Amino acid sequence: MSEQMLTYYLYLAAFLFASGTYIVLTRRSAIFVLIGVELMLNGANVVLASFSQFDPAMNGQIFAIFAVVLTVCEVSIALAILLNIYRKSRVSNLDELNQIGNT
Amino acid sequence: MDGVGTKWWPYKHKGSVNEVLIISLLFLPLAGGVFGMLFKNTSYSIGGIGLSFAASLLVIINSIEFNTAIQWLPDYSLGIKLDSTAAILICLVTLISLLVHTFSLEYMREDDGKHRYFAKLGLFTFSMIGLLLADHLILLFVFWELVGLTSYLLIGFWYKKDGIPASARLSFMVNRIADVALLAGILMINNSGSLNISELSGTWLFLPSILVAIGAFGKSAQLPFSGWLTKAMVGPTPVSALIHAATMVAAGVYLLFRVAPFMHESTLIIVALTGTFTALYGGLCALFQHDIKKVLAYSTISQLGYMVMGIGVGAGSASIFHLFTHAFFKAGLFLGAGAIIHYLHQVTKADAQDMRNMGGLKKALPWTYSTFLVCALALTGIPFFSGFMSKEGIIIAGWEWAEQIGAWAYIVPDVGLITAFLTALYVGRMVLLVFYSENRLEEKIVAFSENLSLKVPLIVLALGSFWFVFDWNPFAHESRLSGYWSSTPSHSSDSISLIVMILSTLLAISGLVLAYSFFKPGSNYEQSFSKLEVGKFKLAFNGFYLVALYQSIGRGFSRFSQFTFAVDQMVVDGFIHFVGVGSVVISKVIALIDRFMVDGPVNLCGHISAFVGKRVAGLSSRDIQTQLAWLLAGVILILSWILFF
Repeated sequence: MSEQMLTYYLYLAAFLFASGTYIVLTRRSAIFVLIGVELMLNGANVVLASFSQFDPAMNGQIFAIFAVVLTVCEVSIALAILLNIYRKSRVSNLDELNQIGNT
Repeated sequence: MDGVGTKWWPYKHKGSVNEVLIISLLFLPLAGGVFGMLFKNTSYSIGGIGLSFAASLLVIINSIEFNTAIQWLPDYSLGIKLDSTAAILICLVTLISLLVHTFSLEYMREDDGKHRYFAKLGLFTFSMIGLLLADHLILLFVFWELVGLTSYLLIGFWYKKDGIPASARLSFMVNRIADVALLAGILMINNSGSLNISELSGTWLFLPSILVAIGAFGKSAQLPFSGWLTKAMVGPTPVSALIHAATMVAAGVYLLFRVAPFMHESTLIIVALTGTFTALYGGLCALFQHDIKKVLAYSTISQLGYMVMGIGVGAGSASIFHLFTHAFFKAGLFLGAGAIIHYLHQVTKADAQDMRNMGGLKKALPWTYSTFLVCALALTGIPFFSGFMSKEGIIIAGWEWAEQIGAWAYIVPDVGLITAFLTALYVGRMVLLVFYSENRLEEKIVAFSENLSLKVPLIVLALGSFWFVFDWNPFAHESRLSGYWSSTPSHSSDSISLIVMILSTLLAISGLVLAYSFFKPGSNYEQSFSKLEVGKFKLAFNGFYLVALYQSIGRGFSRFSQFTFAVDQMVVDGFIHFVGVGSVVISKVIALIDRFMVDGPVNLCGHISAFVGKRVAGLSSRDIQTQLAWLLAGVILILSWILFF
């Protein structure tokens, strides 16, 4: 794997991260924000995986697999919370979610 | 000069008793007048002035002298001094005042305001005594103004009649003008030392002494201030006798007498000349008057001229002597005229002061006639009467003075002699036209019982006009009273006094003879007198238009003030307007500059910070995603700082 290829991987990672950020900043819905956060995480994973090409111990790729596993757990919990919030207060817009507890 | 009564007045040297005596002498007339007005009883006034006269007699008989001072401002102790001159003049003032009070009892009996009248008389007598007691020039000035004020009040006593307030005002204002000069003179003298008359020393400069002399001229009705005295004749006749003949007008002579030793010599020459020409002026004008009181007023001006002339030629003693004798006979003449006017008021509706309505009054008023005749002869200066002695003294002194000064100075005694002739002429005319021939009125003369309170003052004053009151020798030009006001007896050469005596006696007699031939009963003049018009003697009749001169000066002043008013309006106001408008314009310009040049940057700063503030305010917006965006921007900023710098 050449350094030329690394640059393309990094462009991809930057694109993923920027897209995720854009979605996080612009979308009103909590679900889309969650999707954006996933995109940003995956951008970071791409960076980790591509830099570990130059590491003989491959620590980066192992870290990326850990991150994917953690992300799966995190997403499932987050989706469950959102679902519960939605079920309780019929709101998925983040700006309206400004209170904790029973409303 | 120890009086005979020294023994029965054991307090001669006890200051406190004398103080009480002097204070009661001074304040009794005033207190009597005030109480008389409060309780509507004239006997208070009579009592007050009577007691005051008694006190002054006590002072004279015991020759009490008194000297004290009131502390006023720092360095100003107002001296009060009763020396023999003041004592004898106070005695004169209180005597004349007492007689005038008595006369007024009858004269003013029907008048509604008589209590007011007596109160004013009391105030006047108080002020006059105060003037004579004052030793400090400022204190003297205060009383000087007080007598001027009471004179004004009494001239305007019948203030409801037409023209009287105007006349009173004119006399008052003419006096004030002279008084301004007097005050200025006093203040100038103040710079050079004490103002107490008894402590004066040295010779004053020309300016202050002429200013003081002008003040005295005003009060004594000398030229050019003479006009006010004839205007003062609208007051009640007893007032004219007291104030405008015997006492107040003599205050100027008194002041001159006191300060003459300190006067600049050229001032004294001016004083002598002023007196001389005033004497001539008064004599000329008196000859052509129809109003009996105006004849007497001009005569008073003329006699005051003699006194002032006497001061000027250095014969102060003779002047005060003339003041003394003149007070008696002129007050007698005025009171006689008052009796005539009083009588005519009861008989006729015609003008009671106009001699054209008189004539033949000898039968109606026998007592008035005889006393009037005695006083008139004293005024004429016939031997055996008082006027002769005192007038001689002045003319002799003038003659001696002229010998020293030079040939031109003989004008002074010469004019004095001519005036003596004129005096005889107008006195003869007055007496003949008033008392002799037939009555010129339509109404018949009725007998008139002269009241005792009219008669007594007239008799006293007529007695005071004889020679023996002043000296046993009828040809002396000194008096046994002279010692009161002069320490050095005058020594005139016998030849001059003989010449002057013979000359003036001849002139007086020839004046009387001429008067008789002109104005005797049945003469052409007498026949046509009741229809006489002023005609060709307008100049003298109107007193050489002095009053008109004052009025035109007054009008000139008012024109001038109108002119200055116009100047003020046009030039000064215009300038102020210009300045005002200019400053408004300038301030507008400054406001513009302020708004654009000064406010501009300030507002710019404000706008910038407002803009920045608005933008920055978004940082703390409640929109979580905007906050997140800002957070991101911040992180990027920090990262790029670390990366690129």
